[in-house]
Amino acid sequence: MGYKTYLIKEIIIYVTVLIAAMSLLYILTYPVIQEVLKATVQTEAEGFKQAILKHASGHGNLNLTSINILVNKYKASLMAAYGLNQPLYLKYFIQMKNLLIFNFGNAYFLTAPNGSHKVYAIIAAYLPYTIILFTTGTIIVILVGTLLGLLSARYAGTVWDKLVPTIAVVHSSLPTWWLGFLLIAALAYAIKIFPPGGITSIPPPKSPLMYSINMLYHMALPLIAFFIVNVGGFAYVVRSLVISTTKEDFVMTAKARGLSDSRILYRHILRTASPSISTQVALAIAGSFAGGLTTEIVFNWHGVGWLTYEAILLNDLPVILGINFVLTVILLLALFINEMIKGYLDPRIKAGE
Amino acid sequence: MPILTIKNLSIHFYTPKGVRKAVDRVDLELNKGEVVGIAGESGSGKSTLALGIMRLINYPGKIVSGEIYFNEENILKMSEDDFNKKIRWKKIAMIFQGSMNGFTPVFKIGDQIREVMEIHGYNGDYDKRIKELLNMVELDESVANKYPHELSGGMRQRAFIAMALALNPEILICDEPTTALDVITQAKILNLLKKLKKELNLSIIFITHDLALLSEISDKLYIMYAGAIMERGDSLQIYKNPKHPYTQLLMEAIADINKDYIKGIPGFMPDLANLPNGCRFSNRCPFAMDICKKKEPELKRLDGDRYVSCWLY
Amino acid sequence: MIDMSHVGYIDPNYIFYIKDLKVYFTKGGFLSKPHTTKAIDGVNLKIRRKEVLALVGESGSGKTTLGRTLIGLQKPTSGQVIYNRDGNNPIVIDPKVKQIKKIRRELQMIYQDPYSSIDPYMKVYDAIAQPLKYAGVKSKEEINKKIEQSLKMVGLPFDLIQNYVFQLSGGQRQRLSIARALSLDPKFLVADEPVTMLDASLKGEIVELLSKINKETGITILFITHELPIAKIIANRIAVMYKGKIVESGNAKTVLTDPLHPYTKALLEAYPKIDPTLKDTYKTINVKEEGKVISNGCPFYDRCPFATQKCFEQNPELKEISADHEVACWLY
Repeated sequence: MGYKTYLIKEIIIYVTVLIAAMSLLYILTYPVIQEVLKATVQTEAEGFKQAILKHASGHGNLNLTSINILVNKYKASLMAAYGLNQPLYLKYFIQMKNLLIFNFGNAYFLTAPNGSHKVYAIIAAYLPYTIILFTTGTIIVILVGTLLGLLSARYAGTVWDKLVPTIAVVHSSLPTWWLGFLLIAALAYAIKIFPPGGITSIPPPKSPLMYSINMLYHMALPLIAFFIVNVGGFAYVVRSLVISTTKEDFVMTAKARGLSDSRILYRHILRTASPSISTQVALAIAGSFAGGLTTEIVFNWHGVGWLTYEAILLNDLPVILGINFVLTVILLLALFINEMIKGYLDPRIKAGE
Repeated sequence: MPILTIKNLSIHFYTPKGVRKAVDRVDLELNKGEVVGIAGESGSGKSTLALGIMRLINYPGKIVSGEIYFNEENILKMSEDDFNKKIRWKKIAMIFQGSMNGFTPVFKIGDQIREVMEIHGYNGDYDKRIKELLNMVELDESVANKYPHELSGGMRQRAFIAMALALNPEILICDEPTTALDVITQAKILNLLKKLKKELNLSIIFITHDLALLSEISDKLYIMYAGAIMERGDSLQIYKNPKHPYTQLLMEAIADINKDYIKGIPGFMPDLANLPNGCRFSNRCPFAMDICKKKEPELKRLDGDRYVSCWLY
Repeated sequence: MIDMSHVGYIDPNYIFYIKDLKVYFTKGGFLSKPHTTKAIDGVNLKIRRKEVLALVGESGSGKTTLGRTLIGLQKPTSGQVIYNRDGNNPIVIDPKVKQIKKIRRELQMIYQDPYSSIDPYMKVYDAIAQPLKYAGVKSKEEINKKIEQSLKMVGLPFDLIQNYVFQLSGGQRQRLSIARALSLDPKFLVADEPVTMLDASLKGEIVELLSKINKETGITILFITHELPIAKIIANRIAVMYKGKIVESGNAKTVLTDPLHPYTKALLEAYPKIDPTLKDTYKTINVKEEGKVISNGCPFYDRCPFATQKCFEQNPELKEISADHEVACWLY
């Protein structure tokens, strides 16, 4: 089929899925979205009114009726922009367009650190912190987990192999937040090696280098908690994939023709199993953007998870919807990139099998 | 002097249900330039025997006793490292029933053949040798640049034979190499093996359940049943005049295009973990006598190179 | 009711009339070019009452699909399968039509893999009783009687009914498969590679059993196999399939002793014969490697050493060359 055709086909599929996902989300949250938009229009109009009043009082031009007319005109234009008084299908298109440019409207209550009320600005302010912590943690889990999984598969059946399944089951059953509390109690209060929470100390150090080091210092405990809980599961999945690949005919013949065990494992088996492993990696990384809600709360790490929590507490619907959408897009993007990688790694997929 | 001598080889599998004696005190000789055919049904131990020669027996199986002499050196006593460097694939190579799936799917054919040569330190021009090998198995040179899934089953089998011959082995073990292929491809692969035997003076061990197929290529024949050799000898002689009751019944059971009828063999093969006292074929043998149920017959020489394991003789 | 008016005259000697049958499978089509597999590509076949017809071909020839289409498991893409159950009541076989349910009982099938064609966790009793119940047999005595009869027919002891299927060996399971089919008193039995997965020592028994059943009860059997030697033993007539078409058919002995089609000739040459004197000679197989050319004519074009331009352009139809011996080839 050729790699190019494969790519184009995948793009079409994923764009379709994205639109379908967004539409489904829209349908499910339709009444809520209408509320959100009305409220946004209301606050915008209010803000506009205040601005005019301020300007007018400064020039002594307080004609309330004409001000109200202006405000109402503005309100009407906003409602048109958000499609509030349009027929359903137009509303749908306007909303889709808005979503695609990440226009989620204004938050009800929350504000970004720089003062903006725009939802995308709020999310954009906190997402990086989640990425710094969880994506880094996920990458460490992936690297260590893959290695552990490979070794475990190699020594499958022996005593060494018992380690990974045990860790996988025991550790992943531990609630991260509980482990977090434990670590804080032990390593931040009993023995004061690490700080108990927060992204940086207060006040944060000025120089970029010291700032980074300080952040790393604060990252240590949550990373440890995250790693302990998640590495076993990932290693187990890799182990299973590798073991099932090992059962295939070509592994036996590889051994028969004199290839060393490690060569077979790291070149032949790994490469053949890599599309499946890659899918796990894609899902893990996509998932990492969602952060760990409870982890971020326990460690007072102000990322997207913490933001979601705050938004739920405050019933700040626009923010919740916005986060939801961003995470969907990230997941689909990750899966799409994964398809590209899989197609490159396994020639059979390119050929359309 | 035979190029390969197997003496008293036993391979057992330790399962929760007991110790399965997959190969039970087997002797075998292979002379240079000869084709030894091993015939047996499923469970006879023939494949396990082949894997034993290549030292590919894994847990829960184990080679419990016996010696295998390759050119007078006991290859079972070598270290795994030594065996892998000097014997495996270099002197003794193997093609399997699943050889069509024997290539790693993510690498090209040529690259995999090259890898085998690199690992074993082949001296010489790699590309030239790959071309030579593909020509030998009657494949086009362009096959080297293809992935396994781009070739048909028959072509993959030939490519695998090419890879098996890469280091100029002296012995080629073929374990049901054509069972998964259609009959026309099977005939062509058999022609190929005959050609290779002649041109390279290759010594071949050919393992299959198809007695008719075996008759077309073997010089010597070994009949295996439930882990042991029941009869062995010159192929032509055995087909003309089978001595062991199992061999006789097997000849009747094999469908051949010239035959009008086939007969089954009633009864079941004994559980390899629970072999009976006496002859392992006694429960199905139409000539079973009292002694057959009590004492196991030895593989006795009849005349020339014919050996039979049966109390009738 | 099914409209039979267009069917025309059906000779009552034939239990099955297959007219210009085509079964095509199409895959894809959404974002990639649709890929059509022509499993059966224009088959005309008549199956005589009470005969054993062997359908011989390699994997991919369409033989299994043909078997399934005959008993109504697969819908034809075009063409007709006409089942003439007792000589004057022809019915078109079509799985989508309601009437098919009533005659399903008369058309049975046994499968290649004895380990996966019967639920191993069932009791032997249920393996036979269940289909009987579905067929409408209500009384327990009658079910028991049928089970007893069919087990006897296949040579299995009656007290096996208490065992579970997984306690049976491969050969026993295959016999059970046959008993299961027989208990429904079928008129037609498709045996799809019934001995391929069995050991040499077991093949003989099953082949003998099927032969006996055909002789004693008159059930017509379609014996599908890729092993010509087995077909030779059991078949009255043979049909050789290649890439969805029948290339040669006729009386089994005639076809096998005097093959006409180059493919049949090559098959007979290729099959192993017990002949140790051959061990130093090479077989001449008159068949080329499969090429990339796909002809609209004869399906064997790219492999045939005698192929001409006519073969590339036109598909040869089955033509009768001598008594009960037809071949589809431009050489004749």
